[in-house]
Amino acid sequence: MTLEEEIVNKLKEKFGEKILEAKIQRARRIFITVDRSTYKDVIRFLRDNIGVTHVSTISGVDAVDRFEVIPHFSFKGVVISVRGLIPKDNPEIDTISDVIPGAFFYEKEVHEMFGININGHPDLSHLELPDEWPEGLYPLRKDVDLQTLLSKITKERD
Amino acid sequence: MSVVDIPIGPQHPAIKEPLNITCYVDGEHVVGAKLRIGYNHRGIEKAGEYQTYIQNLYIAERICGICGIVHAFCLTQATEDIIGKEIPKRADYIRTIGLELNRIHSHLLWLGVAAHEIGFDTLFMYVWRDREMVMDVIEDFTGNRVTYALMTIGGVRRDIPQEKAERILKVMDLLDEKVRKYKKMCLDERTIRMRCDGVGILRKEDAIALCAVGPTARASGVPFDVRADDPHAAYDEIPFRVVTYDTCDVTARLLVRIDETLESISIVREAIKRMPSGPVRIRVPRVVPTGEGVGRTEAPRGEVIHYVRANGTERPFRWKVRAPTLANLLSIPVMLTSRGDYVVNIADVPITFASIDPCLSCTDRAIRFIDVSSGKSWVWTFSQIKRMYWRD
Amino acid sequence: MIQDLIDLLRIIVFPGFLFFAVLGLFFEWIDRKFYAKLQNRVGPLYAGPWGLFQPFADFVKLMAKEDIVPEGADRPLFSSIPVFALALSLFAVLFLPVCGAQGVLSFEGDLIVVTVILTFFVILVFLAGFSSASRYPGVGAERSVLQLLGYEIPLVASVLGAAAVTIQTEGSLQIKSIVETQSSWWSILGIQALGFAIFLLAAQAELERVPFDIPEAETEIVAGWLTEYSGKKLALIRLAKDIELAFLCGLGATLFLGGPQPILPGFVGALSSTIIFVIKSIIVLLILTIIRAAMSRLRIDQMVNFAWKYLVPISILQLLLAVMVPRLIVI
Repeated sequence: MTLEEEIVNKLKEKFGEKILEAKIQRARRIFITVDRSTYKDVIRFLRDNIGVTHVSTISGVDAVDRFEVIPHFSFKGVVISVRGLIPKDNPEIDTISDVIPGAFFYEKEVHEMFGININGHPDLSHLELPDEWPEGLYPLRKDVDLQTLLSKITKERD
Repeated sequence: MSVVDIPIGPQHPAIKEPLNITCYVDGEHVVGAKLRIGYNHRGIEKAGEYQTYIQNLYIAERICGICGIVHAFCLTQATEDIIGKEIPKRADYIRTIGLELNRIHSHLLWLGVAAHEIGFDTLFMYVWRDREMVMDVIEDFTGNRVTYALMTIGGVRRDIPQEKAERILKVMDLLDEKVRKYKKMCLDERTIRMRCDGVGILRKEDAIALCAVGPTARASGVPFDVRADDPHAAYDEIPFRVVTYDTCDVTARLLVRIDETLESISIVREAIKRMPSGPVRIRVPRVVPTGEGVGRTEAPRGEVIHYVRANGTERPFRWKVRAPTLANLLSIPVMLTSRGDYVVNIADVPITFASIDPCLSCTDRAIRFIDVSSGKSWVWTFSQIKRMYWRD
Repeated sequence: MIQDLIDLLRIIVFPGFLFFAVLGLFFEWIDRKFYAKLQNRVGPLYAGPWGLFQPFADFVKLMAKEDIVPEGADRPLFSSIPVFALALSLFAVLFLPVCGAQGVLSFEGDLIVVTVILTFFVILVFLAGFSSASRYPGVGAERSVLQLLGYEIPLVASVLGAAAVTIQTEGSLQIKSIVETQSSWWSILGIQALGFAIFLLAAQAELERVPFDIPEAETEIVAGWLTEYSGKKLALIRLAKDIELAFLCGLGATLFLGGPQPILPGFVGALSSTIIFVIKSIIVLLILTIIRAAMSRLRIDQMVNFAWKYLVPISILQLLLAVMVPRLIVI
């Protein structure tokens, strides 16, 4: 059994139905989909029972009908991407920076770019955007196109 | 004496990067540090959603002025994963050579900067003179010094003919000798050791907890190298050593980079020797099928990861870039805080910060303009700049 | 009347102010050019033959630049520092014997005045940093005083060591008699070698050059105490520093390398001793430049440590040697 299958099996064994999808795309690439209620538990399980310590980054995705937060973990060369699904009407998810401290900056980035509230994160100030950035404007959301961005920012300027 | 805050950056001669470190200083000792980045945010991820994959390749190349090739590589790797096609073996080798030559140039550049940070300008001048040799061979085979435009989806754009390969080998021999000389110099020169030994300590457990990457992690004894763990391009066929040191200080980072340069030289030699013949690219469709992919490689500064989500059009649905500096920034406040016996002086701040080889153009990605007279700032988006300054 | 005019010319033109201003700029050029050669660069190239006029061009350019005084600065003090610095360095050079055994100013005990002047430079640096009301100059000023604590004793000890023989034989502390003594006493290759080495290190610290450029460490505190200076003020400070460089090189040549030993009487003798003086000073300068190129900057704590652990004890030992050895030989 390869390392990838082992990880997926362990996860399925523990969480069963709660793992909505587990896909081994190719060698060293695993994609796992969970709901946000199990998201943190899965990550805690990965750390405590498998030994994952390194988060490479957290990608936020605005998938039109929902948000996805995808931390990419790196473990012995295998990239484990855990997709947490978030409904659009209530964009929030638990922080994982208390489980894996290295996620601190990435969660800030997801917060400022997508307006997803990270529950329990110690500091959600701006990371890359300027301090005077208009409130409630989340540039990487799909409903914010370049024109909206431009008009909002220039209004701020004048 | 009371605690004074000393701002370093966004404009400061020590740090050629738009970043602000506020150091809290008690006399000459730094007791805390706070970071603020984002002075150079260019909105590349947003811009990427409006361009085709091929156009994005060239934007990706411009994410970083030093290691642009790794971003182009990661994007092609992620996209090829989605398409699901194998690229020709020869292309893999040429990619490896490109990545390694880039690493040599980047590490030499860093060595010069580090020497400048500790006030040793002579070493800086010598190293940068020798770095020109690498720049020249890169220009020789890609046509460009900085943005190589080498990678493309499905292979590489330029082959390495025999005579160019020989030129590369010749330069590698010369460099090998020079780099060994610099290593000896760094080990023997007392004033360098005085400034680097025991400075900027990042303990192994901190490096693991804070997810440090690249030479920063390896200098703390964490053998984390994407080339070895997650072999891509031709790294699974070429033997090389993952360099680690365990003194966790600036000297360790210095030596990791010098040793890695030597490793890279041997990788380039080996790759040229083993390079199979054949085509260097395959044709791929413009439209990428629905799917997602993760591209990962070891940049000179550490792990780079790109995440691409495709939705069956010719433009990516989402393109996420994580440059290595962002991963290492979290370690900076830890390195810069005096605790117990570990004392950080103001004089140690530049070299400590430089020791992670920061590159913020990768880390921040919207151009921000500040109107000095009114003190207001605003952001110009890609299309606005395009409208104002590009004529098409 | 004529004598007054000659004295005035001696002070203003040769070998006084003008001569040393030109010499200072020339020395800066040598320093830059040689430093560049050591680093495999070209150095100044365009202004004049081999870039000879580059320091002067820089000076003129800076004079024409906008002069900014920071808002919170202590304006009178901040603005007067460059003038004081230039005046002090021009005053100092008058004591150097250029075209004879005696400088423009020469009196009993002038060696003490010279060592005091060296300390005054640091006081000016401190005041400059203090009056800028800015963080980097503040840290730079603090560092320059700390550094002074490190190198002042070795500097004075090495200067006194050079005078040891003269004090004992003639009971004199005059630069003139030191120079005259050296014509009969070989010194540099003997007991003064150690003193000369200490003097070079201390001079490097006084001039704030690598490895002791701690008060103006570019990559740490921008330009240290110089950060807020611009335009004319910066031009004057740079000129003062150039003259200070020429002064310390000249002092080294005078005290340790025998100074300008007049060979012939009259005009030719004066000319030849001037040339000898300049050449000897250049030798000192080149050594200083090599030190600058071969090292990296120390930290302030390392510098003070180094000074008190090694430099101070060695310099006191050297002073003892300089006092005892000639006595033994003479007896």
